[in-house]
Amino acid sequence: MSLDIDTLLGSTRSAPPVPRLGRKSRWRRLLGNRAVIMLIINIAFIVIMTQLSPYFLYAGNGFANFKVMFVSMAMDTIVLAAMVMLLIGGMFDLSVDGVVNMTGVVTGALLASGVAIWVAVLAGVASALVVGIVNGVAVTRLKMNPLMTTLGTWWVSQGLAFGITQGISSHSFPQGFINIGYAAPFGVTMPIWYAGVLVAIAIWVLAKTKFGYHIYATGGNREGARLHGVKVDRVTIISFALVALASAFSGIVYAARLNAAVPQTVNGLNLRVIAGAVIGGCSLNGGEGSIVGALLGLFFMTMLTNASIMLNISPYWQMCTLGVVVLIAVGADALAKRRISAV
Amino acid sequence: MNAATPAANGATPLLELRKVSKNFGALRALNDVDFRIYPAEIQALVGDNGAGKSTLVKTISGAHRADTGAFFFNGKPVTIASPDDAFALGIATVYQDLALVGTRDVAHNLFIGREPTKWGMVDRRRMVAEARGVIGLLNVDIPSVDALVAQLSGGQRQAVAIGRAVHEGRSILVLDEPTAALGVRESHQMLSLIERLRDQGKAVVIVSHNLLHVFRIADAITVLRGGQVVGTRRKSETTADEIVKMITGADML
Repeated sequence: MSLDIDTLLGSTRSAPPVPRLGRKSRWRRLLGNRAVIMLIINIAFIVIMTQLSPYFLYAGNGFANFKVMFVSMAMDTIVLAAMVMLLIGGMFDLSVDGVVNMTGVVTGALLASGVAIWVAVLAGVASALVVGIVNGVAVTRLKMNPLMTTLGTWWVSQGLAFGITQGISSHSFPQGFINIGYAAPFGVTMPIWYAGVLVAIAIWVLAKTKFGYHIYATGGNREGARLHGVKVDRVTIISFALVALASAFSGIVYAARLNAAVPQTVNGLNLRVIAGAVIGGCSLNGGEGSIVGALLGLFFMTMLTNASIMLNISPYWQMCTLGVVVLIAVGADALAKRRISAV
Repeated sequence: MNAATPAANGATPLLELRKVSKNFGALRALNDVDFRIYPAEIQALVGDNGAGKSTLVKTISGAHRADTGAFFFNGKPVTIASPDDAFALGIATVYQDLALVGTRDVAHNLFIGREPTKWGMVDRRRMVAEARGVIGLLNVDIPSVDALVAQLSGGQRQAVAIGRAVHEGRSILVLDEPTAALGVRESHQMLSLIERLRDQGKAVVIVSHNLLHVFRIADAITVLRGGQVVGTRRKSETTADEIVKMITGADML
């Protein structure tokens, strides 16, 4: 360290300008950015798939296949937007599937009993929020392990979903409720609107707000951030609550689209979202990641599943492929970390 | 120098801790600690491992909340229950592990927890401008305020942590082992820096194992042992021998 003491304090000399990064290192940083890599991989994948299957991109009648993919991705994205914030903050949540199903069932059961739509929706959201706050408080104040805690709340909420329905799913909801999932302003179906708005909000929160900066600081060095006055426990509890709220939202939209509240509406959404985010550059150690990268990661996983179907690959092999992709992404992460710490 | 120090004149301490105790479960980390910090004075805090130095530092910086005891700032009772309380009093701390976030850039690291805002949003432009000012004054070869802290060398990281503390420590700077990770030349630069901070009127608390360094710059030396203050000595009135005896408890034998 060349600390020039005389210039540090009480100096009359003006400070030399500190340059920003040069163009070269900017390029290097860009290519070191997982989102950029994922964008390139996604484009390459589309190009290759277009050669392998004529229906993948354009099928004479329009981009039907991509529309299907976008809607399925939009449903995942509702949860993804919040999950990315939680991951960057250095935590993760395995209770999402349970919360989605529980919210749908609670809302559905209340709708079937004839209460107003807003009451049913509010009750569903409240039940999810309880789970989110329990997750957050358990992990921070009680210092419980996040993996086991959210595994536990997953089982509890999933069990509640089964318990409430007792095997009989409620269905045939009022049209006003169905519209939550099926309306299509300007010809675009609701889930895509929801996903778009939530993604925009999440990007804004992470890039522009103090809360977003504190999420990155908390995930990057929890104790260090705390020592500098960041309310790290509050950041974590709010993030868990946001994931629960997003899960609740997802559960309600699913119930509306299916016009039924089934306790096993989603199964695997949770891991799909986390895997997509990690492929897209979110570190499970926290402190790193972006919404755009996570979206591109999720898009890649969505395309991979879709392509497997197009190419008539059996679902069993699909699972294997997805697993291999996740392993490659995590492996690349570990490799990059090793290279950095070796320098 | 010492005859003119505020302490010798019976002036009001800038920060005074009276009978401060802190327990971790059954462990009594601080036991009725009395501690005074005067403006324009370097107060060294010495003691063996586990004597309570870091706990005392973290109590002053608001990272730990004292269980009992009272704090006075300029003679007025205050509470330091959080890092925000310490910040409001102009107390800044450089922790031994520097408490930086490697995945964030230099600009953010200088302002973590105190990001400047404009219309409810982080004012990135102002943050970068102020960060350049701080780093520019330090005159360190930090490539850019955009650089991630994880990419910096150990010395550069320490410069960032010091820069942050100098920037926000309006009244008191607390430095936990500032020379532990530095070479001989850098250590002496650091000590000169600390002296200049003192000459600017700031109160400096420095935790160090290095008695050579302590005797070079400290105006007063406080010795901790087993969570208790063994005593405070003016540098001019003590010897390294006495301080070592106080640290080890040899005078009790």
